[in-house]
Amino acid sequence: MKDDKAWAELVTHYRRFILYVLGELQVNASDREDLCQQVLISLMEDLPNYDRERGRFRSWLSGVIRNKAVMFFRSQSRYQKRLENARQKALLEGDEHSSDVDEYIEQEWVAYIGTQAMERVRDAFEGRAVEVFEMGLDGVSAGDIAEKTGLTISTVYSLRKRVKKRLSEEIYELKAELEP
Amino acid sequence: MSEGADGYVPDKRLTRFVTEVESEDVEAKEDLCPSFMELVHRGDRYRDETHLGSGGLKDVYKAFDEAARQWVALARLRKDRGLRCYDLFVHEAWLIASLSHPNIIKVHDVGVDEGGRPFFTMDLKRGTSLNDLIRSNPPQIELLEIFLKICDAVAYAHSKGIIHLDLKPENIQCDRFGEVLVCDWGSACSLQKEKEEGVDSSLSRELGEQERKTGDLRGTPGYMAPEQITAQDGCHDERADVYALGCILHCILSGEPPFKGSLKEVLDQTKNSEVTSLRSRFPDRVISKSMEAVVLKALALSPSRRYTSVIELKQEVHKFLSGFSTTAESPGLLRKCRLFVRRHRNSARVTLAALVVLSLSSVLFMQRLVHQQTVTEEEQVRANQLMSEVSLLSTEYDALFEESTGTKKELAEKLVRSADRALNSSFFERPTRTVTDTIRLLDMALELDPESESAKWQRYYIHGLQMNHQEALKMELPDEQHLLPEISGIVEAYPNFNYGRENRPSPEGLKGFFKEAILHNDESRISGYLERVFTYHHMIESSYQSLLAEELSALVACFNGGSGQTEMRYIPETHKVVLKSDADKFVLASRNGGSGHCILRFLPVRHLELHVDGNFNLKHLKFLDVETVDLSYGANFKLNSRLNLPHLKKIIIRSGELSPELLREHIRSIDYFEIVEI
Repeated sequence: MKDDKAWAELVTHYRRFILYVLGELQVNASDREDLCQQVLISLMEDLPNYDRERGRFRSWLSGVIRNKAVMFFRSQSRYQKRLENARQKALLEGDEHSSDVDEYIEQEWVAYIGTQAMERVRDAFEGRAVEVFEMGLDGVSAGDIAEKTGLTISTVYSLRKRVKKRLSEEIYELKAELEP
Repeated sequence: MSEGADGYVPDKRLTRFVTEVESEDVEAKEDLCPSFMELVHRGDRYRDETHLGSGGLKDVYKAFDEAARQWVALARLRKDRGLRCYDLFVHEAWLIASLSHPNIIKVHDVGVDEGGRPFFTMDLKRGTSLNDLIRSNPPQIELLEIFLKICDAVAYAHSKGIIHLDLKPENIQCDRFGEVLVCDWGSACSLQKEKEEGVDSSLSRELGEQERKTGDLRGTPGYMAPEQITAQDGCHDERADVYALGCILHCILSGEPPFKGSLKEVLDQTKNSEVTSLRSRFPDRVISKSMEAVVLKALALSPSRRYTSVIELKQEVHKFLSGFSTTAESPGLLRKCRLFVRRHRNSARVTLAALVVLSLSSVLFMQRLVHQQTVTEEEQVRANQLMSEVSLLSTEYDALFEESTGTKKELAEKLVRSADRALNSSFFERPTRTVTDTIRLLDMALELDPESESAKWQRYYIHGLQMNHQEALKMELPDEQHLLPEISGIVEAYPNFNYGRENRPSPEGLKGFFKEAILHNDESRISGYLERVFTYHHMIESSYQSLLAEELSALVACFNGGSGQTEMRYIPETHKVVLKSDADKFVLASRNGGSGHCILRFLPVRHLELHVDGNFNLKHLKFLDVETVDLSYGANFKLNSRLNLPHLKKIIIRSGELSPELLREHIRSIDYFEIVEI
C-alpha cells in the first residue's frame, strides 16, 4: 500500500516532465509512454539510494532519464541504423557531449519547477494580478501595463510584487516536494 | 517548442525566478520574510528538548534555557511548514510578546535556530488545562473564578486591539495555585490590522486576490462564533471572543460544550441554532437562572444581541458570584431580595436570631396574647391577600374591559364577596382599615357593575356602620325584599346622620342613637350591627381621657331592654363596673353578626359587680380582663362551658347560687383564684 502511494506520488511529480523531455529528445510518441514508465520504475528503485551529499537531485534525475534514453536509442539504432539528430548522436556516442544533454535536462527541470509554481500561483490569485505579472515578464513597462489595464502604476507595482512573492514561495515549496 | 506531454508547456521566462530562489541570497529572503530575517544570526541557547505537543503551525518542546537558566516551552515551526509560514509564526510570537498580563502566557525569546527556522520560547506550563479541570468536576465557584480571570485576559487583549479567535478550555492553563493562563494565540489577529486590511480589501477585491488559503478555518468548531464560519475573511470583532467565552461558560456550568456531533453537525448547529435552556437540558446540574441567562446572551446567534464587550460579560459573572442579580436575567423584586439575603448571610442570620429571641420572649411573656396574635396575623395575611387580589383584579380590569358585561358582573360579584369576607374576618381586629378596604372593593365593584345590588347593599351597610345615613339612603335600593330590614329601621329613624371617619357623633348623639335603636328592633337581631357601629366609633374616638364609658353604658342598656331596665356605671378610679338589670335575660355579648366577645372589653375593667336577676350566662364574660367578679348581688347565673378569665383573682358568690366546684371546673385563669361564698 505504501508503495502504491509512493508510486502515485512519483507519477504526479515526474511523469509530465519525463514525457516532455523524451519528446524533446525525439522519442517517438508511440514509444514515449513505455519509456517514461521505465524511467519511473527506475526512479522508484533508485530513489532510496539517492544521496543528497553526492550531487543535486536534478543531476541525478537527468542521469536516470539520459541512461534510459540511451538504452532506448541503442536498441532502436540496431534496427533503424539512422539517428535523428545531433543530440541523439551525442547521447549514443557517450562522449563529452553527454554533459550537454544533462545540462539541457537540468535546464528543463528548472523551467518545469517554475512553470508548475506559476500554475499554483494562477490558482491562488483571481482577477488581473497574474495578467499584470506576465506582462511584466514579457518586458512590458509598468507604465504601459497601467495604461493597458487601466490600473494605477502603484497598483501595478504592488500586484507584481505580490505575485512575485507568492511565486517565490511556491517555488520554494515545490523544490521541497520534488527534490528530495 | 515541440509537442508537449499532457499539455505541459514549459514557460522558460520563469527559470530565473527558480534560480533566484535557489541562490538563497539574503536579499531574496528579505523580500520574502523580512521579519524572520531580523532574527537570523542568533546563537542557539536551548538544550534537552522533549516534545510536548503539536499545533497547526508549531511543535512545542520542553527545553532548558541556558541563558536564563530555566525550563521553558520552546515552540518551533512545524517541519512540514515552509517559508510561507515563517512570518505567520514570527508574528504570533510578537503578538503574544506584546501582551503583558498576568493571565496571558509570556514569551521570553524569539529567534532563529541553526537550521534557519524560527522559534520562540514561552512560560513552561505545569498545570492542567481547563478542559481536564472541568472533567475532574471541581466546585462550580472555583471554575467561575477561573472564568473571571480568562475574561480579564481577553478584555486586556481586546484593549490592545487583539482578538484571540480560538478560545476554548484546552487553551486555558490552570495550576493549583490559582494561576490561569490564556494560551495559543495562533489564530489571534489584530483589529487594527483587520481594519487596515479592510480598507485595503477594496483593492484586493477589485483585483480578486485571495490572500488566505482556501478551506483554512481559523478557530475550533464548537467554540467558533457563527460569523467565523460564515464569513471567513470578514472582519471579526470582540464579540467572536464573547461567543467563545460563552461556550466556555457553558462547559463550566454543564460540563459540555453547547454543540456536539460530527464536524459538519457542529458547524451547522453553530451557524443555525440558538442555544436552548441549560437548566432543562442538564437537569442534574446546579445551574442558576441568572448564569443560564448570561450564557444564552453570550451565545446569541447574532453578534448584536451578545454582550458588546468581555468586560460586560465579566461583570455579569462577577455580580452573580458576589450575589447580585445579573442584567441578563432581568430579575424581579423577590429575586433581588433573595440575593440580598444571600449576600448578607451573616447580618441576615443575626437579624433572624434577634427576631427569634424577641418573638420567643414575647411568646413567654404574653402567652395570653398568642392566640389573638395568631388570629391577627392570619387576618393580616388574609387582608393582604385580599388586597393583592384586588390589585390583580384591577390590573385585569383593563384587559377585561372589552369583554362582556357578564364577565364584568362576575368580577364585581367577586369583589363584593371579597368585601364581605373582609368585613366578616377582620373588622373587629382593624375596624377602620377594614372599612376603608371594603369601601375600595365595593366602589370598584360598582364601577364594574353599577347595577350590582349586592354591592349596593354592602355599601349601604358600611354607610350604616359609619353612621352616614344620608348616603345610605341615597343608595336607591329596592324597597321590597329589603336585605337589611333590621338596619333600615334605624337608618330611616336618623335620616340626617352624615357622619364618617373624620366626623363623629357627639357622646349624647351616640347615646341617643343607642337608646332609640332598641325601639326599632329586637335586640337579638341588631346587637351585632350595633357592636360594629360602636367598635368603629370606639376605634376612632377613644383615648386615654375619653374611654367612652357612657356610650358603652348606653349600648349595654340597649342590649338589655333599654335604660329603663338596665343601668351600667363605670368608676374609672377603681376600674369598676356596676351593672344593674331587671331584664329577664341579661346579655353582654352580641349574638348576630357580632364578635361574640364581651362588650365590656372596651373598658379596662378590674372589678365587676353584677346586680342581675335575669338569666345570665357567665360565658358572656369571656376574655374579660377582670380581677374580681362579684356575683353576690344577683341570681340565676349559669355556667356550662369553659370560661377564660386570665387575670381572675377573686370571685364572690351567694352561697347556694353556683357551686365552687362548678366554677373551678369551668373557669381558667393564669393564677389561682379565690372563691368567696357569702
